[in-house]
Amino acid sequence: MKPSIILIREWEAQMSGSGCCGRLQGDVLNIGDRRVFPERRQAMEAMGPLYRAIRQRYGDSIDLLVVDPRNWVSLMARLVRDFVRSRVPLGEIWRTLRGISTVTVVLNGRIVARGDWPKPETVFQSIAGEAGTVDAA
Amino acid sequence: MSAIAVAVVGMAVFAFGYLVYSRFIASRIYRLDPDYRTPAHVMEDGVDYVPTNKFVLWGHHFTSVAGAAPIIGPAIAVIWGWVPAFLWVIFGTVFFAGVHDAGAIWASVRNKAQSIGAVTGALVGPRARSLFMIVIFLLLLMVNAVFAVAISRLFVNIPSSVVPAWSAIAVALVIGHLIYRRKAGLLWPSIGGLVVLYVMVYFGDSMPVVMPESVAGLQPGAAWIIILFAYAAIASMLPVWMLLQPRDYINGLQLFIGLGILYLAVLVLNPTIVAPAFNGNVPEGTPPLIPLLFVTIACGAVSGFHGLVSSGTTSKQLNRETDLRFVGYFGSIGEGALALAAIIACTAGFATLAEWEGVYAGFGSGGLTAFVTGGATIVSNGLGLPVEFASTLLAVMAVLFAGTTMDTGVRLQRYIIQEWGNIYNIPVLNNNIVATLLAVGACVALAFGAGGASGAGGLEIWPLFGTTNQLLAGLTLLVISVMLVKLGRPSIYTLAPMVFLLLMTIGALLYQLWGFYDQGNWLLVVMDLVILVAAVWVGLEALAAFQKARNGVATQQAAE
Repeated sequence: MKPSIILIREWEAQMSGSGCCGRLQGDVLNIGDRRVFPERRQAMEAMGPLYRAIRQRYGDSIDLLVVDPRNWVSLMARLVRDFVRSRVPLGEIWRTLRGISTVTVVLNGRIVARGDWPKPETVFQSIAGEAGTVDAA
Repeated sequence: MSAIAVAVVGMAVFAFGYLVYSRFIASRIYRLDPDYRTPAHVMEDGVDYVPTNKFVLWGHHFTSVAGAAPIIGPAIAVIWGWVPAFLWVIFGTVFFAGVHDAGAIWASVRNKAQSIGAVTGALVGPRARSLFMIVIFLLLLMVNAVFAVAISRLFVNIPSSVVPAWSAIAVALVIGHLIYRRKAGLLWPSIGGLVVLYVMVYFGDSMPVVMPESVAGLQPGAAWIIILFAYAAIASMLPVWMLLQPRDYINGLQLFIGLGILYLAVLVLNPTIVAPAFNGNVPEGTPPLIPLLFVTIACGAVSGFHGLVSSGTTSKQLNRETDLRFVGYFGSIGEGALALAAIIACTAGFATLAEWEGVYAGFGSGGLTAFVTGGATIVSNGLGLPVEFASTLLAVMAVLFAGTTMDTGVRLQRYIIQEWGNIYNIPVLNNNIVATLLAVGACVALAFGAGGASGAGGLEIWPLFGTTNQLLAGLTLLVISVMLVKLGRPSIYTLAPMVFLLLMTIGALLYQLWGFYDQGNWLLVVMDLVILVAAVWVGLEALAAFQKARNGVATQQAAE
């Protein structure tokens, strides 16, 4: 069974809670250089090195998903799958559900980091701690 | 006619569209290749380019496109009878929207996941790119005006929605502080926010806010329009984390809950559609069904806005090219299902035909109010909820989506004006307040210019908004068609919808132009003419691009 990592972060241009009529960032922003959601952009860019480090080290031997927390149906579906597959205890499930923030790393249904992106080594250690099942690519 | 029967027929056509037609389009026309390395893989960086599971990506895509527009359009269009609206929604979704949305992702994926505007510039030419930006600016202008009018009508007609709708602002401010500044978990703020909102909805009926007959000489609807634009101006100058972003956490959840309740109530109640199948007795002043139906319902049948969502963001996350059939085509079916729910609510939620005709006493008089009134009756009779609670719940759902759109729209218009300040070296335009006042001033002028001093007729610009939206869809279909011609593939499946949309758009513009001229409404005459020029321009660009593409193919064949 591949370990499952979910990187949760908001996609700056994906949603604005108003449907397609208010979600014009992509093309409108081509007029100028300004970002509508600069803080979200920073969080996205800060996640890039972590994502790439995980990909580089583990390749396809790990199940890596990036998801926006506002896409809660998809997020919940993936979390439930991970809870069941990894037999996460109820208390831990509750901690995960309660702890998910706009910047979160979840490994096999358990939160590894939240609030700020961790260093890749921290995530690697957590993965290694999961019964050492993953081979580096 | 049973509402469930209508829903079942609609769903059956959608199923045919997805299982049969989209498979044909994907395999024979776009020829999707499961081994094609998508930009998400080629440029994978974990920031913008991220290969994503197709079910997750569908969630992102659908949540990005679903909003108030697929409710407003059908809610106005059933004035011609429920059958024309129903047919346009189901066949528009299958033969237009699905092909358009999936095609926009395909065009973007095959062009390094560029936005459709950029692809237009590259494939058709720089003039078409400029045209694309003009169309977008017009859309922003009109969407703000028309949504302000729609909200103001709801506030006047359903005064119990006023307190809950405005209290959502306070809820959003608290959520924003908790999740973005305190970095709190999302669960409790989201659930807490939703609970507070629904408690306010429950008590909304005991705290109705009825505007006096005259506020500083303004009628109630007009006063609400001014207040709404004042709100939009202030909201658009606040940091996005404070109000705009946290609204996502309320809007998404309450959309699922609101529509879930509505569909469940339809299933339980199986109401009868009381509206006529074809309305041969439309109120005076109602425009002809052809061509106006096809621009009155844009979102829910086919919408150019979806091309913006599909390209540039969705295309950057596509794992396999073949996934775009599910993400794009099935995404448009989700939007069609929203429009179908709106049609049912607006035609089956009334006790008698006379009651329905009372609500649809004039073109544009139904709209969101009809959706809320009809939907609330269905929910109340089907699930036993108090009708006042149900109507407030649906009204607040619509207001929150439309209000968030205004916040975003005014903000983006301000950015555009400030950018013009930079380009043309006009420093005063860079000032936040000046740029915001200009943006809001243009929208207010349009809302009152269209609707008169009362603002009551403002929804008459909805078809004008629809024409611009369809123009954008036509432009996207043009880009896809040019790509197909260059590849030597059949282009009739994208070309035919494009020609149809252009003809309907131009027809609707000419009809409305005559009406605006007759009324002496010079502001709308000018708007109409600008859009008309853009539509003719699209047609000319299309001809030139096809000629060029065909010549290119012929030259290549001769060389071979």
